Amino acid sequence: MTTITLAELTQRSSIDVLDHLDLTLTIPIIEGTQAQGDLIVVPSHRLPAVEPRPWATWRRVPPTGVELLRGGAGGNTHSLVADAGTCEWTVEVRDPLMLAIGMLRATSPVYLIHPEHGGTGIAAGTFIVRRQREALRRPWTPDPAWGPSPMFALVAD
Amino acid sequence: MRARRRGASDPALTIDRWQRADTLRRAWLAHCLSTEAADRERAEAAVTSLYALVGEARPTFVWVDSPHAAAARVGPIRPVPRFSELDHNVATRLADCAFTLRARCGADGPFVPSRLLASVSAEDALRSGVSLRSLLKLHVRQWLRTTIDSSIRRPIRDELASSNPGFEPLTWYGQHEHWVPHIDILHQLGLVAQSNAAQFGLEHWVALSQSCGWWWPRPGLCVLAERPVQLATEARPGPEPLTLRLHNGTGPAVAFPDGWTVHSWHGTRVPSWVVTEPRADRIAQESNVEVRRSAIERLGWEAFIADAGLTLVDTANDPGNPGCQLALYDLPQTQWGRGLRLLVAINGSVERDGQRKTYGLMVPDEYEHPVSAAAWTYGLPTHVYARLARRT
Repeated sequence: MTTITLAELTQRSSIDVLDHLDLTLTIPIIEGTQAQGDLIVVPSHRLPAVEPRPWATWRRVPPTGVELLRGGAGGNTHSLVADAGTCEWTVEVRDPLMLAIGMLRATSPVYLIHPEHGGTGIAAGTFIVRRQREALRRPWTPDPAWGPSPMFALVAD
Repeated sequence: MRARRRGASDPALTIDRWQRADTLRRAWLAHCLSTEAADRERAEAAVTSLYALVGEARPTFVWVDSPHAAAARVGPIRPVPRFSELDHNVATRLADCAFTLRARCGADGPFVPSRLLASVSAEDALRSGVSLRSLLKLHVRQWLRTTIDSSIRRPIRDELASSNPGFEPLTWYGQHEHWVPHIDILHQLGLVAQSNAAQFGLEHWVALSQSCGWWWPRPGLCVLAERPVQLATEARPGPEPLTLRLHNGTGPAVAFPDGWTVHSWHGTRVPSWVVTEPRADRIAQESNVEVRRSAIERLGWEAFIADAGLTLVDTANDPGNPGCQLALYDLPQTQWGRGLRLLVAINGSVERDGQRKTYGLMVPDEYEHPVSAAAWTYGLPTHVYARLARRT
């Protein structure tokens, strides 16, 4: 996949987007950092502290895509879509902030697609996918067995 | 998918059949949205026939006024029965019957991407060679999956689960069983073999969906729920006026005869206070960002900012989101706890109505600049987030 339109992307992946999104626009391919709703895609060199675990299994991304994150209500899902054999994905990632849901490495552009947010292109390279967080109103009741209580929660979709 | 019979039918004839299907699907929508009292006699006869189909005698019937009231009557069920029990459990055998019916009718075939056909009328699609089956999959099954299954059944089910923790039984959804209209319409258009329809009791599934609400089959006992007395929907913004979502801005979106309710704000299931008594202090206590957004929209953002006593710290252009601003507010400590600020951000993509959703995210108060606060939400250094190339 080089440059394609949202129409082509929905057709190839069989993942549909809401019908008010403009299907005729060519999807830009982004080399840098980009966000789709509560997910962010960051080139791995920008976050050297985040790395795949030594035993990480990298799985090939099929043309029908892999689900990165399923939304809470209604089940709107962020999916990663790639041409066969061009992209691998792993969820076995070490992130000091525990925000990473996985990493991808691609040899040609791949796409993120979401029914509400539409599609966006990711250039060839290695990227970290992270979720968004927000601060908690007050800390959880500290439980000594679990160490210090977390001060943030993932944004609940 | 079964092979298409090429040239087997005349396009004009197929268009006639589609028009008949269109009438039938509108009638089915009325059943799905019905708020009339259940036709108990018809429902009990249908359940008796379905029990007979799987070799069970007529059960004892228990009628309840809402799915919530059923929780007390249905009792717990082991989510995975022992293997040896599977064949003896009436609920699993009925599930098997329904599954086989759908499979034999080719009703569970591949998903049809709706945008491929949305730009052309159904009639033009048929003329250009799209099969009637594909069109029915799109305009009946997938449409009802959005309008009934995701937009009505799912919120009621979620409310049921949250008001009855641990109550997750195999449930049949009666009027909200979205596959029944699909097979019924295929059948009425002559696309289902009569033997399959008879063997798996299609007429009884249809009768049930047209006569009552949700139901729970048990050995010797069947619990049936009344239909809601109120079901408030609105059209989802967009070109398809028949596509609905739950919404009532002043009261319950769904109400059952016993007073059990589900509230919904433009399709987002919310606690009742969001529509009946939205207040800044309750918003401050809410942890779900979508519920918070709904409540703030109900109040109005300007009223919320005034009521909540927010004071603006700073605004900035949202990187990667041209034309949109980030705004950082100080929160009064009394309601919101210490050490927090509110970052107000606008979605990178537009809704069907051309608006963008606005979210309020809690951030630590150590940040003075909105971009730094936004960078924190993704755990990024400010200079990385500041160069965000695109937001969708």
